[in-house]
Amino acid sequence: MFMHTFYRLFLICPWLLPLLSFGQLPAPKPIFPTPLSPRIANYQIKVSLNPVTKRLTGQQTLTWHNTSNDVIRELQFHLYLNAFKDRNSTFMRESGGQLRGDYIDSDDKDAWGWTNLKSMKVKGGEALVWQFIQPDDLNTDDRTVIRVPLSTPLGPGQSITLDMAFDAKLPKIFARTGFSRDFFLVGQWFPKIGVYEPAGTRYARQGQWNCHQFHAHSEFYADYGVYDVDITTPKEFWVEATGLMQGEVMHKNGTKTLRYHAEDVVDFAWTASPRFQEATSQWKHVKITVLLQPEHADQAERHIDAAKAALAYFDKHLGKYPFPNLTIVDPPVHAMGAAGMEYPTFITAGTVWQIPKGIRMPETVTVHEFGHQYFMQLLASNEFEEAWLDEGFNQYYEGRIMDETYGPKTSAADLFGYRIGDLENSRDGYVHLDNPAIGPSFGNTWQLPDTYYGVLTYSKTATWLRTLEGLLGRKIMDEIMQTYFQRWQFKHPNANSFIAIVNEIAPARTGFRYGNDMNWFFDQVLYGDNVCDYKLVSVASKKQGKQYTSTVRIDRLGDARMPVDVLLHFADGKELMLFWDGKGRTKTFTVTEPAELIRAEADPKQKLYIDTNFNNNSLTRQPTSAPAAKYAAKVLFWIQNWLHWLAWLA
Amino acid sequence: MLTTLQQTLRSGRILTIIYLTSTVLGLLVAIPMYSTLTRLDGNSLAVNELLAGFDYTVFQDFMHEHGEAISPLLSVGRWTGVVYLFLSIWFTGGLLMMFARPSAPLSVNLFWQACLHYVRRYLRLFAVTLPFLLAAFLIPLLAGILVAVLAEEQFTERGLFWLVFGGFAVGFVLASLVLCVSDYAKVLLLKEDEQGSLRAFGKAGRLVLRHPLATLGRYWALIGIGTVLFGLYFLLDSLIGMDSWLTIILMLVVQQAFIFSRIVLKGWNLGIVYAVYEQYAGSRSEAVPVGKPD
Repeated sequence: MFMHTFYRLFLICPWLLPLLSFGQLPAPKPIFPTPLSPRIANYQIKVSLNPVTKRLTGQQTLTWHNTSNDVIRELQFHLYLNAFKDRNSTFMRESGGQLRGDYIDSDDKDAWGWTNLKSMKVKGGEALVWQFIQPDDLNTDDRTVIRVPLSTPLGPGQSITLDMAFDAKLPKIFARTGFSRDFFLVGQWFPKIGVYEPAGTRYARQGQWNCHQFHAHSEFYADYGVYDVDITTPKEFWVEATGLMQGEVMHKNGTKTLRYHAEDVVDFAWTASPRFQEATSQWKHVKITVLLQPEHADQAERHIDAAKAALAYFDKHLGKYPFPNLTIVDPPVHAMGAAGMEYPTFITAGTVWQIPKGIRMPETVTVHEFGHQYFMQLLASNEFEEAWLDEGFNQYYEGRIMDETYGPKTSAADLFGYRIGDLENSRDGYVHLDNPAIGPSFGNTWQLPDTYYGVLTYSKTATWLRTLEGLLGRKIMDEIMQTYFQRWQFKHPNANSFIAIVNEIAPARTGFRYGNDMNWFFDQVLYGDNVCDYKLVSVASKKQGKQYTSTVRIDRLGDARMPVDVLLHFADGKELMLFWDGKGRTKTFTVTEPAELIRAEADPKQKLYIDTNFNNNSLTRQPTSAPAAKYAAKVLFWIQNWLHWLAWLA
Repeated sequence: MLTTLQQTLRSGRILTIIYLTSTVLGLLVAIPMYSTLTRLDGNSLAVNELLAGFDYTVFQDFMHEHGEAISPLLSVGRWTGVVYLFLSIWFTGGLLMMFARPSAPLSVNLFWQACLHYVRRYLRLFAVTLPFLLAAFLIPLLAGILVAVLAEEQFTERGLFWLVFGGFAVGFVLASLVLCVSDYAKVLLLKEDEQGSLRAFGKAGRLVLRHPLATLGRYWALIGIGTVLFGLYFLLDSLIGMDSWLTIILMLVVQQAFIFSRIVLKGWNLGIVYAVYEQYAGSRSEAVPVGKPD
């Protein structure tokens, strides 16, 4: 209660803080000599956390630049935390109060969260009024987006500076943000301006605000900017945040204020807890900080090694990570709803006590969340409308990095002979759906088929990107990805941005093997729901004179049309690679060779990673029943064991 | 203990009968599994990947395509367990008779007669034992889980783990105690010609609790030996592998030797129980002659 009274005092009178402080916060030091991004939305925020009431009290000054040629007559803002206001928000209606394996206890009043925008005025000018809008649905109970009409329109090239005051109540963590006991993961917490898309930006034909409501399965979309954030918490709390800490001051009331500065980022998140244990390491110019739960301290190296592997891989294969630091937060097991989340220079991982090394959960999450530094932060795609550009690309790179670092068949798990590779796990998620034709990867996240957001966005995209790599080759794929990264970093790419680069590079580098463009590919896998399955139906070989006439028949079982290699193996050791455009329903190859055909394989290099059944891609004329015998013997053994376990009960 | 092991091993034919029974039941699943796998793999080269070791993609593609053909076989496996549970109850009288007449190896004929004679008593004993067993195992386990859930905020992850594991461990110890008592009750039903299963269970319980080291200690020692044998099996499995016909056959022999050792262990356990009962209950009378089924 004593502390509570103190918090209330400075929450009510934040201007008292300097009078009660030791020292002063330093002015922010620039990180980059020249801006890396357009720096459209720039925030100066002072926020205080009351860990007792789980409330934030904030004041922010937003400087927003109109970089378009349009006259701006209104602004739009996200108030994300209002998604947790009650059962009637669009987020809660869509999620049913459950997300990512966690749920909100709707009977617990403390579990809910909200943002209350108290005031907004033009600096040195008029107070502004706002109204809640619902651009995505007709749910008038959703309070996650506001529009703010400007009485004085903002001309091209002009800037506006707004002073805003807000309160927020953090929800009990079940979806990325909030509190759990004394652990705080503070994300989507401040009134955040939407993205104004001038004509020509992504799909905009005329200037428009892109400011979606907070949906259960959507993440975010924002402009770049500079953030200067002063965070006040009780002094026993360990705080880390996006960007670099500039300094801290202690207050006589038992609190402290830390100043963070971040440049060229699209968001700002922070964490606070009295229980963290810190581990640090250095990779080239990047300082890696891991904030671990004390019980997970022995896993520090696992997180750091994974982060370094990801840093090195992206640096080599995609482009430079420009920021000087990376913070990895390990949430407690009771706050797993905050695990596996990405913010600029700041990610949350996720692990449990004594997890065996063969289960690479902390490594996978670390690599994945770090990958978002590229596909969410450096390439600021619109995750509301094209989540696959972030999650799917990232899932593909997660597979590449994990497979290269921990082994292609052991990167996800390697325990007691049970082995799973990361990329093959992604493929499994998609191709073994009851109905892989359930939908495309492309589309607004909240409009994708119900419950299939994850598999269509992450798994399917990773699988078809691996297929694209298979068709073009790793080298060309890397060139495409590097070009995409170089051309679109610190911008807002969309599907067309990527496809244009593929069409620019792939046909020329492959000698137009797949035509003048690769649109046929994206039409099927990105925009379409076509299913790929080729089956080798028969192999035969007949002696005719001194030669053998061999036939191989391959059928296309799915509606996806992909080019297929067919490899024939002959008794004399000769191999013959044939090519089929894969468009027809069936294809029979007939060849005459001096030796008998022994076996044949369709797509022997598994280029078509999206093929739903690799087992039917090959046939041999000299089959062995040894695998069947092996597993039958194992089944016999374990059934006998099962019987004798039961016998001990008798 | 070694004397009873020798007695057990002398009854090779009876052990073979039990082994063959479990093997035949196992083959009810394994043979259809072999023919199903041979038929379903469609002469694909992919399944060869499973020879070298586990391959997730091949396995998942196979199960997605043919899982419906495999799951009924595994269901048969579950039901054979029920059948074998009954058969194990049936075999108990015969196995104990091996030790009741230690002077010469038990004839197969007498073994079957003993099985038939005592089966009803042992079925009744099983009916008595089962609720005790479930209670002994589940109550501490559920208590551990319940405390962990209710006191979640007071404990760390490590604390929660030990709470649940503690419940499991106590459950395991109590369940092994119940099973050990049940074994002594079996001897009592045979040696004392006791008809009341619950009464026999109670008497056996008192005996076990009076002499925990001799009874429960030996029981756990046998569990330890079984665990070591399992470890040995996994070691051989990792060393030999099953990646060719030769190693498949070799491992098949190892597997079946292991299964046979489990049957020996089961017989040995009853022999020890019989001997300990004679030692501490002061009863050295011959077992009742096998007559008509009771």
